[in-house]
Amino acid sequence: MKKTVLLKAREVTVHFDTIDGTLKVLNRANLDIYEGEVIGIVGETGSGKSVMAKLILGILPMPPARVVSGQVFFRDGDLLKMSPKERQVLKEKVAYIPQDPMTSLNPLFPVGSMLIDAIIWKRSNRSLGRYLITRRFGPSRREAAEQAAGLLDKVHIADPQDILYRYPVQLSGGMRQRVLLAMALIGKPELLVADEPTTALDVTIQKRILQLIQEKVREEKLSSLYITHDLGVARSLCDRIYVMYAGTVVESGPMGAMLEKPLHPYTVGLLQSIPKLTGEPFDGIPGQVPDYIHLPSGCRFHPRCGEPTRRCAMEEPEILEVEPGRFVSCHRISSGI
Amino acid sequence: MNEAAPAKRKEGLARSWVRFRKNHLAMAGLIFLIVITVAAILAPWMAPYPKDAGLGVHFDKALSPPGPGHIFGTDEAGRDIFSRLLFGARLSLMLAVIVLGIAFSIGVPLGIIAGYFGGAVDEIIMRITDIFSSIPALVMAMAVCVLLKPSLENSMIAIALVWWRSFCRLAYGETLSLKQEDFVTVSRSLGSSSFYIMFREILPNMTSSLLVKITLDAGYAILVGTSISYLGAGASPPTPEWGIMVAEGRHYLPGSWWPSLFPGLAIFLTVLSFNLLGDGLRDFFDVKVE
Repeated sequence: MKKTVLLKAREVTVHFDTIDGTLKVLNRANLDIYEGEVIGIVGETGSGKSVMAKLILGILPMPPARVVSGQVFFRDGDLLKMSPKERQVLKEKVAYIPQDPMTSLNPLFPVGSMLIDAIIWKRSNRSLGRYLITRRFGPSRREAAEQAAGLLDKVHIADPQDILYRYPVQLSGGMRQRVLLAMALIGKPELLVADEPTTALDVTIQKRILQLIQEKVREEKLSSLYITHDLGVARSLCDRIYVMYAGTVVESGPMGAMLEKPLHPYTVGLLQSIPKLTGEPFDGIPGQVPDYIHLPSGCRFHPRCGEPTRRCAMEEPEILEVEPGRFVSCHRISSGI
Repeated sequence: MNEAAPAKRKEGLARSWVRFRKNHLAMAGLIFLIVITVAAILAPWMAPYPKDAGLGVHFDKALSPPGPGHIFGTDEAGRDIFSRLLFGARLSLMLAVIVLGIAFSIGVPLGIIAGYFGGAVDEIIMRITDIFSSIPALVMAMAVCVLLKPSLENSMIAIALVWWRSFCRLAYGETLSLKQEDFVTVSRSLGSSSFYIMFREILPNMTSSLLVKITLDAGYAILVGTSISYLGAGASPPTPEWGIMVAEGRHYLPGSWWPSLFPGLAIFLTVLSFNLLGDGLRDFFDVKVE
């Protein structure tokens, strides 16, 4: 069965212009999301996961960010070449669940008002005049409130009519994350991007929120992209994962195969860094993510790699398809060591 | 003790009011301002000699000291100073409202736009405000005033023209930090327009800073307004403007102290009240405004 590609990122290179110099953050990163697929991007802090997600969502602040080369296709349109207007309309199709629910809702308005605003804005065909009229008068305000309550109900909030008029401070982290999920569902999205959706929540809520997201993904037939540094989460959710290191996709492939037989030394290291319940000491990866201004030459991972070859410091490794759907970018693999 | 029903927890404004009331100085300022506002509104009915605010003259009673009949005395044309003070309050408060209204509606949108879009827009707008900041406010306002022909209306326009830049700076600074907030990012990811983000996500979040600034500035604007009138570039006699009253009364010092003392006192107390109230609000909201 051949699946249709929903999102296709090709050789995306993103630089950040800062006072200290140019940060070469994303380096020829590829990403494919097929319809109905659950994708994970894993990597340590500062590996460019969020930049990738924000680029797809269209919320990367430009400047300082600058797309140097590459394309990101959503269905047939190149997101990076669209007019701002087209881009804004398309944002409905790509929903976002932010990392920290505590700060992601405007503290001055009841949570419902944001939902209602968004619904009315959509109904008034994004025309400011019509929006202002509808918001004040018109029967559709009540309809919008009902629709908002319906959305809250969908994410299993008990008593949605009441919650609509609560302020964010009156809601717990889990509740706020649900509200944010409801907001994400307004535009009938096709792709859901979740940027570490559970890191700010405590462990008991984490699982419930993840289950809820999964449930919605199935119900609404969404494709989804999880950004996470928690391999456990990735494992329980994702069909395929992309491992990112210092702005490059070092390895990608189906979840199961990756965990059983990691190929790239970085993936191996990541898997070894998972704390074991038996309490025996676990191996980490020595060193840290490089400074994006002074990047190591050749393979960006070679200074931390256990067994770098001479080529590693000299040229960037090409992306190699080792098995169908399994890509690695490492000199050791390509030269067959 | 425990048997008694717990007092109902106060919500929202009622709760804030209880907290605000503890600040006695700010309360004093607020009360004085309420009194003066009421007096200004009711001036035609409260003033014992309403005609004295205009062209009425009684040279037979010129410069009579405070006493029964004229509690604050009369000026060089025999006009009742108390009546004129009441009408003067109207002008001063109106000046504050109009000046800050104009300054607010120019400065705040420009500041938000500059802060939100950044880049060239930011440079252009903020450099213009820098130019305005580099000229002393009073001098600039007087120059504009004289250019436009001295009158009370023109002095308001002149003061507003030098005032907007401080609102612009405040809104700019607030926007720079607010646009980094996660809720703005979420709003952008939902496809909100820049207009919506600027005026419905960002602007409401700086309400408290703006409120404090308006209150503190109101007193200062009145001070500048009366200074301009005092120096002869604003309202012209016989307008019962406080600044003019001080200016005219000063010729009869020190023998007759009342024609300049009472208007001076009125300016002093009004400005002080605005400052006390502003400081109280600042502590209350816990915001930083210069």
